Amino acid sequence: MTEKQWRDRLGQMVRDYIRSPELEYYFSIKMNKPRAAVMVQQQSLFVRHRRDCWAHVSANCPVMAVKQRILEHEYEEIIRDDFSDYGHLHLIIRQGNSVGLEPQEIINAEPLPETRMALYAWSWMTSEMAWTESLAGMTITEWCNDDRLLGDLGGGQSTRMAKKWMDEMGFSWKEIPNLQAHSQADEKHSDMFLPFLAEHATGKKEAPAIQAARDSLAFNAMYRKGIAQAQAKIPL
Amino acid sequence: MDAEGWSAAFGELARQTMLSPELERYFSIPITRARAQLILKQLSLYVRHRRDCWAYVSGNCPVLAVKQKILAHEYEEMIRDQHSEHGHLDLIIRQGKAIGLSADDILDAKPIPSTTATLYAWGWICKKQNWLAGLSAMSMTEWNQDDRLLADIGGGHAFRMGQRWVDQLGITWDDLPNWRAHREADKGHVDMFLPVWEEYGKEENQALIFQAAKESEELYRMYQAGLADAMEKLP
Repeated sequence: MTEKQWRDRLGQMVRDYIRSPELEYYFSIKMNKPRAAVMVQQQSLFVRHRRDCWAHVSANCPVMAVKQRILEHEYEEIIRDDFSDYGHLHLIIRQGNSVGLEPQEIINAEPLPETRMALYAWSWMTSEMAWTESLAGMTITEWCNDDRLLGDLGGGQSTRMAKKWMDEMGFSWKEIPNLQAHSQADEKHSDMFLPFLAEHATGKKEAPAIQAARDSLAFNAMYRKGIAQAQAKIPL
Repeated sequence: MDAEGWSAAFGELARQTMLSPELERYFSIPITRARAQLILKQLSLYVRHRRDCWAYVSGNCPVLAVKQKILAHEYEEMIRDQHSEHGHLDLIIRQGKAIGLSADDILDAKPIPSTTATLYAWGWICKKQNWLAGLSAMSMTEWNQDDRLLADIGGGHAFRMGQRWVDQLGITWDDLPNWRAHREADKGHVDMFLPVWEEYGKEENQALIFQAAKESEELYRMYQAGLADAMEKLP
């Protein structure tokens, strides 16, 4: 597939994902601070775990240009970018402060069963499967934050959740810096790896890469359904 | 803990699993032929994946006596035991015939997303974590078949689901060779590793083994919940 065909194919999968019953449920849960705290804690595990996963993809990939692009991506996430001088975990800790969480409550968060399942599954995918598959699996989850692709469906995950937090808890953008950053940063990240999929996920490697992207969206849906179920158990 | 203590701990986890909302829902859905086919096809993926997982655990384990036990376990599953001369996959294929599945339907089965996620997760535990964690994760789910432990709450998975197929599909236990075998075989498999827990499950290893067992049971619940979701979409 050409870069454009990859964009169209992955984009359609993400549009299907954002309209899935799991995501509809995730966005249907009315928010308060204790419920939001569950999301911040699980998101901190998700975000830190992705650092392992991107490292696995890079380690398994023999193409220097791809390794460089991953390093560029990770530099922005871990070290510094337009949104933080201390990496994106810092954004989560600041966002946690808005919902009453201490940094240690975020750093020492325990995973929900669905979170653990999804993180282990992504670990397996990125550590054990072909790098073209794990690259597709990792990059597609960032497409879920792409407002350009999902604007007509209410926006990407971060934008849509940010609106809920502002509507239902009265927050400003300044109080939700992680959601604010990811509503923008991941648009750039969405574009970063398309040329490499077009160049390297070809022939017999193409279908497995598409399947990995599909699997990864399914893991993401299960992870978010787990958060929603845990939130629903907390009284409003 | 001695073997008896470990038996009580694993047994309690299995009872919690079999009484969990996920399993209650799974066992509440009426069985049709299409739903039975789904269960068996996913089970064939689960069973074959466990052969990889047990091999990872053996590869990571430095204790020859434990490797021998795993080999004995796997010999029964893959080569020959009192239930089959061709390994347990043959039992699943034979069971499939009763519900209209060919051997190829079973061998070429595609995982539903929750099966993919849980199998990847078990793979990760068994290949990448401490061998005691992998062994615990693998052994733990076999406790869910133990009718001795679970009789008062409806029996182990093989008996409970097998009986539903008998009651609702009009077949007999002779048509369910895989589950008939597992009602017996997993009792021996559960007991097999109790001496290992007694010998190696000390000090910090105790928490590690117990945590892996707990995680494995969570994965088992989510695997079954995924089946329940998929079954409800079928006629």
